[in-house]
Amino acid sequence: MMATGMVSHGRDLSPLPPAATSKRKRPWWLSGTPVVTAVVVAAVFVVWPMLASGYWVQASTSAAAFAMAALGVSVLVGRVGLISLGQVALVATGAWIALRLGYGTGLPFPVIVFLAGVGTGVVGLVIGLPSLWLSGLTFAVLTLMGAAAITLVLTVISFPNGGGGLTGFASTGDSAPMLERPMYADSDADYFRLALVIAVLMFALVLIHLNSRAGRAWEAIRQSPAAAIGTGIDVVRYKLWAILLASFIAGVAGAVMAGAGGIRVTLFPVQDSIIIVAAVLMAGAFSLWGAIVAAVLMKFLGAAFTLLDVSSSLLLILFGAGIIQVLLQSPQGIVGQLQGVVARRRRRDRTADTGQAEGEQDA
Amino acid sequence: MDRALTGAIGTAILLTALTACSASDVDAAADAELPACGAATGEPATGEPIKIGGISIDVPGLSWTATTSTAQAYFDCVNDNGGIDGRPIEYVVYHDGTDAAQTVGLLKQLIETDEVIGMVANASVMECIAGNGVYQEHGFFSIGEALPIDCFSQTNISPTSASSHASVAAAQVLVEELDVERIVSVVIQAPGVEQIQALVEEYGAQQGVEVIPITAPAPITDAAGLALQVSQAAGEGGGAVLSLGSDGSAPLLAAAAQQGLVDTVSWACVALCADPSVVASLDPAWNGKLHIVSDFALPSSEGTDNTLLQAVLAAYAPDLALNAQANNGFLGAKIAVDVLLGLPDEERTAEGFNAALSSVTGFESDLLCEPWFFGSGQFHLSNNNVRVVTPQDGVLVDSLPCFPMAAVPSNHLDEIRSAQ
Amino acid sequence: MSNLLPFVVLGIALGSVFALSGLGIVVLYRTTGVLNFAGGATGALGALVAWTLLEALGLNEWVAYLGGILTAAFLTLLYGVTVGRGLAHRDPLTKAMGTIGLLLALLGLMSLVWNPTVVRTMPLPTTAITMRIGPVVVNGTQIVALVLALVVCAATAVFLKRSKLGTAMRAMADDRTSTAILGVPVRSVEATTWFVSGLLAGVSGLLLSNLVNLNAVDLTFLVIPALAVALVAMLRSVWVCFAAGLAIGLIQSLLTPVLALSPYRSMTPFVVAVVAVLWMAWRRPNVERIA
Repeated sequence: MMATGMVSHGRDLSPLPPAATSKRKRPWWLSGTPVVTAVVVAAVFVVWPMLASGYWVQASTSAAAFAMAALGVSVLVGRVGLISLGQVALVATGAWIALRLGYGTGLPFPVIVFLAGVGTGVVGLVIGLPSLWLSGLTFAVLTLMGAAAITLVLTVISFPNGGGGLTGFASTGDSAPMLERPMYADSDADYFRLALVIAVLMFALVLIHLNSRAGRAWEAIRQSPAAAIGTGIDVVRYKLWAILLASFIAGVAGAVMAGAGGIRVTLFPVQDSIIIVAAVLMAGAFSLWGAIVAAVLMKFLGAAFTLLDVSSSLLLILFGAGIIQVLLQSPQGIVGQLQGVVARRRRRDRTADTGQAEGEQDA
Repeated sequence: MDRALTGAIGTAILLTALTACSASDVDAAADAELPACGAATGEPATGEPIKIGGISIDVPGLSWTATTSTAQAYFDCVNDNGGIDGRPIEYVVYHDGTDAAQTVGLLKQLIETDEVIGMVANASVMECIAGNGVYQEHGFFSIGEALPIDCFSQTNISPTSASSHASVAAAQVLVEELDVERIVSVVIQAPGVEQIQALVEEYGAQQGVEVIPITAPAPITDAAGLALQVSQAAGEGGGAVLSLGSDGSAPLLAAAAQQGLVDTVSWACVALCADPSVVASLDPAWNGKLHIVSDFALPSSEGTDNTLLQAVLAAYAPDLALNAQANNGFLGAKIAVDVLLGLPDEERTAEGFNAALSSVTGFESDLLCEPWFFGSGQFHLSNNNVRVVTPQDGVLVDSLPCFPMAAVPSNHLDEIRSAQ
Repeated sequence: MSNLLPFVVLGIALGSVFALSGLGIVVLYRTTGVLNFAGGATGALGALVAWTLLEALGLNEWVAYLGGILTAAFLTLLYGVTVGRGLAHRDPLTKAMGTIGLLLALLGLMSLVWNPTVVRTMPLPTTAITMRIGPVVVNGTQIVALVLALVVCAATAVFLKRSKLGTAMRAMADDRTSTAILGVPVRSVEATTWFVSGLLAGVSGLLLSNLVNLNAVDLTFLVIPALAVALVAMLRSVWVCFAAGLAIGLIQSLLTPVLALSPYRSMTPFVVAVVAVLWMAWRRPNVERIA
């Protein structure tokens, strides 16, 4: 959607690492960027909880969960061109399923997280399904209304806290129920590490998809849905697959949040579903790094604002202005702009080298 | 065009930020007459600061910062009056949201990093729900305004207000003073409202009066429909208890007045109805007909504490209204100051302060019906005597004098009163 | 049965709220191709400005109302000639996302400047005029809302079809470049469109502040049922929009006494919109787009 509407301003807008055109013989996951990323992640895993205070460790866990939610949005917006304005409501759904399973069954933590993802995937599919044959605009509107509906239902039935029946809610139970953490990740610092590992797994899941048949189909659909149909790609099926993936990841994020702190429906207001799209667009929907930058924007900036006694309403204004600026001037977002700068510098270096060689030849 | 747009957006953000900053700047007016706070020496305190912490909720849609702002105003006054034996109070306040994990993080920041010695005048939803564990771990005790009903069942938190528990008192007024035959209990859909309904239902069961619970969807888009629904359910000789926030009360009361239901049902309302902005909006039809249960004395009352509160607000926080938030903020700050003044200087530490705070009894104030005490055990409901006020042409006047709230199983008042 | 009459009357009142908001969306969409998520927020801002002029500055009430309406109108105009123009060549989804940015910015601005915990009321003179219909009392503002929705609907239908300006607007929404080539003064037509849309949002905001609540968050998110109504009308027919608004309001209000469904009745607009969308998809599976 965003790609086909863009007019090139002469900037480098290529969003993906050129896997298909790479001359390297090594598989994509051994090349430069992933190695650097792995090192950075490992460093954060070990060092960050030791340096950060309790407040910042909690903010980081929250950021990890939102990075996953943002990743889902990024997949939909950047790869298939669908804008979902209901992602945070799906995160809430994931939290609900995780809590219901946590209180109602004795399943281990990883299983609960997985099932929360699967259940949320189904819900996301059901909400997105009606408008798949219609335009992206209808999809956006329906997901927004779906978010409001989910929030309403959750306000009425509340989150499970040990009660019985379908809703698992007891008025005498916890007002802000939490999912029980696994024994090996009981402290806040260790739980952050677990959240980080789960986030890495989700990113890896998306990367695998991007380099598979689904990823290539998505790329074709993004370039031109009509041409994609022409080459025999079942657009509806691949759109559904993207929605399922994004919703699954949202569900996993919800389960992670359920173990991080007490859950209440006020944690998932409708406007957050809108803000997360704004953050992803600002950060850059075409690169997976954008999801991380978006989460940092939302959670770290928010956490810093709280400590500095700056009103969170300023954050709303920032995102509102930011999304307008992105749409008007830099559709590839912060990450895309940075990548563009890096790419331009590399090209300049290369041209300088070849220019020198040519100069010598001419002379 | 691009630059102009970016410039415009940037200017807009800058202007907004300036407006926000200036709106929250509280000018300490150079008053000719300094209110007599704390030790009342009239000389500014210059010693080593004593750090106290506070936390209040501030999200788009719910902002309870007036409680901590009023406490700040009182501490400013105390600091201008010699502080605590020459030591000023440094009040460190954070504003949280609805994220339980973040609130826990902020409490840890206050206690572990900022090293405050106590937490007073708090008005946070999540502090009560998720903060007790942190308090227990560090031996801290907290006093403040109770927003969710969970605040009353935490071992280390003792609210200065009665808040949603006043619903029982509202039902008492309907049954004992107005002899209603059935009660409709109205709440707005939100986490925790089932407990409020349970309180009224238990009281109804005790008195043999039928209670019909109605939970209105949030936000109220159809106030007239809700008013009609309430009146139909109450029927002939019925009463209604409104346990809504100030935001929900105003449209419902306006609709009920317009539908001509003021006289067909007996109406009782809890403290948040008494907010000056709600009262000012009331139709004259409500004069004397709306029974508001209030935890605090009227803003127009003439006791020493109320006069002092008005003077403090006028001098240090002229933009703040004299409402329940201000009352709670003032009380929390005053209790803290009295405790600190009563301690020897070497005990003005986290350990000493919290030990003293958790054993406060017999704290008298003309704002309250009965002296306040911290209490012990799991349940705290120290402000359990209330009065009834009623609107009269845009202001509140006294209607019924102080009376004790009825004890029902869920409010544990029997336990609390016998332990006192 | 007589127990239901009040909810029928109130349902029509609620429905006119939905119809008015939905019409604002459909009208702007048909004339600019922009789905405006920020209509509610703009109206809310106008209402709050009017309140400030009235209460804090003590101005005459009609001056205050006019000030509020004009604030909404000029804000919308400003958006239209800057961001709206900048996005004019993009697809409908991108244009709509711009208004989402406006929604967020306005929500933040209003929460910052007008403390959310203070209860604000601004009774319009029409609210004091009451009329009894059976067991329920209806006020003048509700009647004005219904009449205004009807008038806007009829006026838009006639204007867009019959007048030159209206045809120009429709053409521009469809294909801006060709319209410009044909000699239509695109920029001024566009500015007019946005301004009028802002006026409508401002008036709606004032009416809704009395019919619902003078609360920034509540008024802003009234856009969600409005979007549902607009979807049912397929973003095209103003008459279907009007009828759908009334129908949804009626259904939602009639669910009030139905104990099992009552807590969920705010979902009515969503459920109706989904049914409508599914029906459209089933009727015309080959049509790719609704917008």
